Amino acid sequence: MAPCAIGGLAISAAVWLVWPSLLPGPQVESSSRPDAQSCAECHAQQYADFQAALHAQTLRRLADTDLLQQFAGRRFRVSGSGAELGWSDKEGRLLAYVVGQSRTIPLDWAFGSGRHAMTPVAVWENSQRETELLEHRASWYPPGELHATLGLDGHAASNLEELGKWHAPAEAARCFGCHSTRVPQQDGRIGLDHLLPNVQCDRCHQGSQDHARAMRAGQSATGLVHWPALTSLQAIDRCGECHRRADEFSPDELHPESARLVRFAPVGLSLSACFRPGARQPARHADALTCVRCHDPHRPARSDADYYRQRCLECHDPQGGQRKPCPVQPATSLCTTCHMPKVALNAWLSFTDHWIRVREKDGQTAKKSH
Amino acid sequence: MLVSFVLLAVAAGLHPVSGDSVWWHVSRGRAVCAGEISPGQALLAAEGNREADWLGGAPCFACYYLMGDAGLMLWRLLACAVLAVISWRMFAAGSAFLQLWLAVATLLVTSNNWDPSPALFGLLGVWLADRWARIPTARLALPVLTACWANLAPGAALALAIFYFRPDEGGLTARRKLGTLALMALALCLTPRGIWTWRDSLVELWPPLAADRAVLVHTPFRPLWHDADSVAFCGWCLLLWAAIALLVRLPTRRAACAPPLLLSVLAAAACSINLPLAGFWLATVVARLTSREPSTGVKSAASMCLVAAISLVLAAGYWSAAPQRLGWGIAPKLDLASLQEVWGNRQRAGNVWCVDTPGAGAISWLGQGRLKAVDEPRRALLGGRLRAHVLLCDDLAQRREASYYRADSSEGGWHASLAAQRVVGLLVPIERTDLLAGLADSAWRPLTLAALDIPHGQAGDPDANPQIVEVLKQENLITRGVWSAAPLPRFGSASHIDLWGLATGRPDASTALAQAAMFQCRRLPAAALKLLFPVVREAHSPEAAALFHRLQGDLAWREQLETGHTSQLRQSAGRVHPSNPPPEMSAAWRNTIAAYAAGHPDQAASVLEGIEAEACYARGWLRLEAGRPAEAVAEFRTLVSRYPDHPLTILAAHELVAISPER
Repeated sequence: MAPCAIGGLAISAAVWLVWPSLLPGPQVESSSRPDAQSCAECHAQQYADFQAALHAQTLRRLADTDLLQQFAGRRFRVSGSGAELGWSDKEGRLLAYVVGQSRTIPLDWAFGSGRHAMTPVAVWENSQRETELLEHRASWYPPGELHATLGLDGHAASNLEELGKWHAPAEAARCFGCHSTRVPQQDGRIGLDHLLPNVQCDRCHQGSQDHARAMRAGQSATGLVHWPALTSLQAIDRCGECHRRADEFSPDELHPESARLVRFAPVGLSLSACFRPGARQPARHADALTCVRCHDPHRPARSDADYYRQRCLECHDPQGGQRKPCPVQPATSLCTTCHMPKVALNAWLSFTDHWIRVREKDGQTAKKSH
Repeated sequence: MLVSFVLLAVAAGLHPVSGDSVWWHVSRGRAVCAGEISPGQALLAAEGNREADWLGGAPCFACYYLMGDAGLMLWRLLACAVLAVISWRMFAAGSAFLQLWLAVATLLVTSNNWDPSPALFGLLGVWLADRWARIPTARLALPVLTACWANLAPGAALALAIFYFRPDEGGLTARRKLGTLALMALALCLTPRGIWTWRDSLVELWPPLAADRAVLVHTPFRPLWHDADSVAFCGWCLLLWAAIALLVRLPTRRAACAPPLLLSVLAAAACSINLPLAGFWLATVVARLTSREPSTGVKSAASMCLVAAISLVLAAGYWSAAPQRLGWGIAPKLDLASLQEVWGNRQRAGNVWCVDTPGAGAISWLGQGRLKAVDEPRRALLGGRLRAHVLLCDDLAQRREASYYRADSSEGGWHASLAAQRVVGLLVPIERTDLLAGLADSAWRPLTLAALDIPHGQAGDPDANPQIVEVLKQENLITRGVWSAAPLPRFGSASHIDLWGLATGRPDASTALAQAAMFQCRRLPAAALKLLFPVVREAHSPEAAALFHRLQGDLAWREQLETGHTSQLRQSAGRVHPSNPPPEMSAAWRNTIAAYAAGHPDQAASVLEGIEAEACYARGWLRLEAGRPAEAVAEFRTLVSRYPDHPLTILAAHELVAISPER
């Protein structure tokens, strides 16, 4: 009896040991992510609203934009490198080259919605068949200017860098990962034909496939990430997966005078005095300040400053708000002008500084942080 | 027969000490001798539990303290000798043929446990438990044996299984048997870990209890078939084959011997680290069966020849999974001299994240309490931290610096994880090229190029910056300076004597190959080639030839990316496009490529004549790789001045700037 039992145990254990099992990879690489159409079956309004949001337009094939017409035939001299770039249209494909050289690189993808900018990107497979990416040195800025891509106006260390910034396979996957909902990958090779572009429902509502399956089966268990149950910090860190998180910076970098920080809204927000009281509270808590408190993620971001003033007054209302009202300006003034100003990083691109603070105290903050 | 067995024991045993956990256990022993009852907590930043086998490192440390490196080597030889004697005597009752092969198999299966580590006590525990279980007067000592085993070495719960499944030869009643088992079970808890010793011991014997297989396959606790090329695995297969064959022929013994056989197979299959322990238990079961087996006839001459051949393979390091050769001392991978220069002599304090046990051991030994290893794989397994450790390794290899969410909703990204552990340094073994490649573009930079465990410091850290700058200078010197690699060592290194090299004159290329591969994954192919030339010239190894072709492919790919053109040198030397062979070559080009592939770049440049662009470019690179930058500059200048519009001119101009930054 005992040998039989141990024999059975041995066979079960052997089968269990050889059964394939993989380490969990990034969620965005998962092959089982549904596209937004299946969510639209029940959430038609949110789906319709979201189509106008910039997150729904973060990545396109260049042929689906008018960048070919915008770039072809034009020339642009990059101030830092001194190289002159040119573009040509070859059978509907945009080719970039350094003027005076015969080598061309086809630009097949456009990153960015076009509201602020669009950057052409070249993608190829290296000798190991891994996907590499070249972020082009020149971007398109509305209404039709060509200018250096943000962060790429410096000296070129190699000939390839005259055309743009080369990204290794892992970085290429991360670029696509933030501009897409699903990026299938195998051994460093991105399955571009099966890529699900743009930020769709499942990028933020992880578990939507299980949710849809449960709903269709008439079950109540949803399996979705429940945003209101996340703490404020967890909620902004979810946005920070692409927009950067404060814990990715060293303490020396988290400084009011760092112009770099304005690009990363969750980092600034997490440093704000307004954020800290509710950082560990659930996102639904009255003290909690998260990205979605001001930005409806299903709609385009509002551009009227008065809307944001109203959000500030939810706490800082002189008529009985929980927090101290502004001692300098009346409640009718626009809060963001002083506390969240726009910072221009080049002639065409400016960012709202989300580090909400009294800027006159920056010197003291700097002293403290040193 | 005995002579051939002794020959095999010497050929397999007389190798430099190379066990992964040597420095870890010596450090644990030092901590115990300094009064620590929980050395793991004293040495590891992440450790929160006490250890059951807290005393295991003390004998290792005593050995090193009394005799230094020689003490570690003597431990290895003594362990090999003791296990050889036990193995030989264990099968004395069988035929001479069986005795030789089963003793060889038993000795080989234990070979991973000869180096200084408490694992040797586990093997002795198996042997003693098996012997004492059948001697009525000795049974009383079994609880004492269990307690000693639990305090010294992992896997002490095995003692109970050995006793329980040992066939009753002395008229032991069921009540007495249960009583002895109960005493042994209690004795197992007589450690600083208390009742939890049970849990730890079971996890050590069956790691899937504490971590899932997806994690374990990336650790030393992986299932057996991931190490199917090891010497120990071959010994285990021999033993298993003998056990099955004997059981088939002795049906009356099946009921008694099948359960321990199956359990030992399970323990070995679940985790390759358990192979010596489980294999040795299997050997005791086989020994019981052979004692009843009549002689099967003598095939002495063939057996002795085969054992001699195995001895030769082991002595020469030809077994790919056991590349150590006949020698004396400490293997270069355990030599801490280079690490000592980086971290040993300075008042640096903080946590160092180590990939594996050798790294954790090195930091524990050199850090002296100032520097602490974050974790060690076995302690991480027992503490439930192995998954986090493996996922962090995966993030580093995949260059996932920024935070992200995994498919199981956990958070990944190495930056935040290392920051949370207050890590000031990383220690990455040179053979982990995936991690070294992953770190190549990060802020973590190597602090020395000489060590086989590469220490990394963070750019911007004032303590690390001077060494980072020094390494950058060295990299530039190797890549573009007047530097060429020294001939391969034939007599060993500072830490060991290569007896095989002394006897045969054949150099050991393993270190140079590993360093060349390291440069390749740091995207410094020219530096890698310079290190590879002596290997290609002197060692004629297929690995070197394969690496040479990969490096040519890397350089060709870079040319293609930068200019849209691949030079004839790279096309010809690397067979870049096998489906599209390079154009017909002249005799000069053929001679050039032949000399280049044989590791003589200078000679290759000399035989290549002509002033066409491809020839100038090739000669420039060949001179650069030969460590003659001045001559390379002359060739590149010729190319730039004569062929300003040729695609290769772009690369030549770039090299001119890189070789002479002041231009």
